[in-house]
Amino acid sequence: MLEIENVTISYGDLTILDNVNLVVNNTPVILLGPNGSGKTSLIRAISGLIPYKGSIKIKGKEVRNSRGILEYSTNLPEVYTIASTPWEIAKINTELKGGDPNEFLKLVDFLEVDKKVIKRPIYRLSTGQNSLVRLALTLFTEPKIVTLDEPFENVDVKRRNKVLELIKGRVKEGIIVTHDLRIPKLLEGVKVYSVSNGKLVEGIDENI
Amino acid sequence: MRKMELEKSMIKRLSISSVALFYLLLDLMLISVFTYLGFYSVKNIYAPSEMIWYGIGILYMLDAVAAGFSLTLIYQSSSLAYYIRFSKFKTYIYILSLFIAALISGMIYTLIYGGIIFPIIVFLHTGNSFEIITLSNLLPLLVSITISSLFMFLLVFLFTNILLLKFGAKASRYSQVISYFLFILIIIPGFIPGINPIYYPIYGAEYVISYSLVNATLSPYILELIVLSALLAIGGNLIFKRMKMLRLEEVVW
Repeated sequence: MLEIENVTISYGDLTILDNVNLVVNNTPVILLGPNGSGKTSLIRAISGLIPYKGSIKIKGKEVRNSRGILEYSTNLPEVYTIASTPWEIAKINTELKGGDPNEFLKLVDFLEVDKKVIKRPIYRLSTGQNSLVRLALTLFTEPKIVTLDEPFENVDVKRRNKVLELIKGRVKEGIIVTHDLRIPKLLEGVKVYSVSNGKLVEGIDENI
Repeated sequence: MRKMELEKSMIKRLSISSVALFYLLLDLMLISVFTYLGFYSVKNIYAPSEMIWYGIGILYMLDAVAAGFSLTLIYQSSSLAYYIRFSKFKTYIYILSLFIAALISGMIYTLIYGGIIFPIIVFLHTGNSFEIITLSNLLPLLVSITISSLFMFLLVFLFTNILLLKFGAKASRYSQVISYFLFILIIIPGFIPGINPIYYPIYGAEYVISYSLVNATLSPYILELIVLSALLAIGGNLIFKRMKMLRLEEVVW
């Protein structure tokens, strides 16, 4: 379970998210919002990368003080600087989070990413390849709770369907962040929240 | 059983990755040119007192490796914040792999400099071959380089942690300054004779390397470096732990 309670995120004097509440339990949710609305900031806070006020708990543990929660993964790019190539990152992830690196290879294959790509430095991949590889890195350890930041961004139409299939099959609990209004239609039945003016509201906000 | 993937990746990053190769070979070339030009001012290349130039060359190479060490620590700081919370990540394993990788890289490049480039430069100046590294001084030399490397990397580890604590992920803007600052400290002893290694530890690090080459044994000053390294390790680790705790509140990527 992912519990977000009275969370406020600020950069200096600018408050991005103000007193946000959300509980995600055994289901994925979509977080919809325009650029700069604070969607990614919320995922960064959940992933322990930026400061927040309030409380964010994963499996009942406050993120601020947590250690060794293996059930959570994210596709945020700054997380994947631990090694140079996606293949090295996959092997390190296997050692640190569990799973099987062959499963990573299967996901790369499923997403139709050239195998040669995973032996190249991750910062040298195209934005689309980078996005797909990070998705595979996030999901191959079969985490229980997942946050995905714009997983469809820069992905071509053919592979979009693959990404969609993968998310439907593997993301059972977590947050999928997007600014694309088409995504809620593609992920039918998934609850949608909108972020606008620092607030989080249920459903699609007409002002987005 | 652990397959030591983090350690392997770190060794590759600091020794044979394309970025490491580019910068280290460039630095190797630069120090070769400096050594070649520097030898014009040396009256007797074979005099033990001139061996300090070899120590300076080695420390310069270690400074180049230390720059990669510092940038790696800064570059990976965000992923550390994540892995500490959401994996079986152990901070000491990370620090250890960083140091092992830097030591291996430092050893490879300093031996290339000492074993190949330095004798070539001497040959170009004198027309005679001069093998500075021999079987008799190899072991004390390796020990001296290891201790000097540790001292240098721990110094950089402390400075980088201070930068990370103060500026967070923006520390990369200032990390090059550490390298330039150390470069100045490294070359000063070449121009000011008679410095006491006790009062100038960087010269001490150069001196122990030169001493082991000339005398094929360890210099007593190595003890000073070991004590200072231990103090730097304690200081660096204290700040690293503080950074870990403060990180979430202080750092914005």
